[in-house]
Amino acid sequence: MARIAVASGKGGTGKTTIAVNLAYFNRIDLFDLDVEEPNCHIFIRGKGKEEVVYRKVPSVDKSKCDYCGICRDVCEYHAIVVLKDAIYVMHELCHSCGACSYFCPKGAIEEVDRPIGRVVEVQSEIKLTYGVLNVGEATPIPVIKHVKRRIGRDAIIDCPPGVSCPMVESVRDCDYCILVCEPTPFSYHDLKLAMDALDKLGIPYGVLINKNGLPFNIEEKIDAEIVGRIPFDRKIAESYSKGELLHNYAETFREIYEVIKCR
Amino acid sequence: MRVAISTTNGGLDDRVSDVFGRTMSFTIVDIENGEIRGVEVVKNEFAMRGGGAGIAVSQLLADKGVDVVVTGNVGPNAMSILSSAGIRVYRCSGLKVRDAIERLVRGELEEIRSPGRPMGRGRRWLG
Repeated sequence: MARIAVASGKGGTGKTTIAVNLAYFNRIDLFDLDVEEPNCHIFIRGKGKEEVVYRKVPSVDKSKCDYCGICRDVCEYHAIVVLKDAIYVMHELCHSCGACSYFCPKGAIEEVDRPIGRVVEVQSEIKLTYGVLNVGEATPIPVIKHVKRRIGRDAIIDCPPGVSCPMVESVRDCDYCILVCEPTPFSYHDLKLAMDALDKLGIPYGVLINKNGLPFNIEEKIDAEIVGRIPFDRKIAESYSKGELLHNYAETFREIYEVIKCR
Repeated sequence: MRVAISTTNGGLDDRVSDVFGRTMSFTIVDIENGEIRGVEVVKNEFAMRGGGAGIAVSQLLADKGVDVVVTGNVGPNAMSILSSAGIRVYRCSGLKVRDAIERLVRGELEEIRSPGRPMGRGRRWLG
């Protein structure tokens, strides 16, 4: 019925805590799109089925290349360097657009698969699907897209922090977004950026205040619906640090989902 | 010998800048028998663009037929392209371009053979 993204702006506000518990206590499939450091699997445990994710990068047949430099000129990301008698591809900078192979007049460039990460599916009380980007890779977007293909009609989606490309790609096809914030000036600052991004994307959202009770009144400053509040409670941090779900707040997470479902 | 020096506004009286890929300009100086024969200032179009500035700049200098680069620091990608192109790199920063050239000609500048800390995202050695 709804694909609900959990994003934040500022990191460490509690996206994963909210996403994992919301999914678990409402028995909804969970997707972790924070592929640079996925951690929902610490809470939803089980044996995973893995699939490798590839992306296309150029491979140059040096016997056909005459070093004309057209591939370099059409590459927006400076991923190809052509010297008088040498050509180099910087795979990390490549965005897999295919322009180099398309425009090569000698047909010397072929696009080949390069493994950049994997998608893992865990079947526990709920199903968790998450992506893992290989260390050293520059762009998480292709892995995020691969995980997204498995999202059905109902889903809770844990998004990467920030408001740049990975977050935008993660929230893009959602029906609703929960922005998790904490009552701190830092979180307030980044929350405004995230709200701005979602306004521009045309995605409806509500704000969830985590660590509620800290001495900064974020609620009076934001012009958005508050969909829930999780108290600032040491016990929550203790459970989280042990990789446990928040069974004491099961009812709270059911209520939050009820509120959002009606949106 | 063509020497490219990383600079801000450019020219013989400007100072050598610390950065390579993101430097605002390059002052390209032609030297013959220890004498300055010509000076050209090239604005660095890649300074403010997205990733891969060091790579793009190395390509630009290779295309311009530069033999020597004088700058503060060079990242791994840029360093490997420069050395593939047969361009030698010498360390210098803060000095006036004019003085840096004098020292280069006298063989007083340290040659950079291994790269400094990478600035951007494209950290990789050429295979």
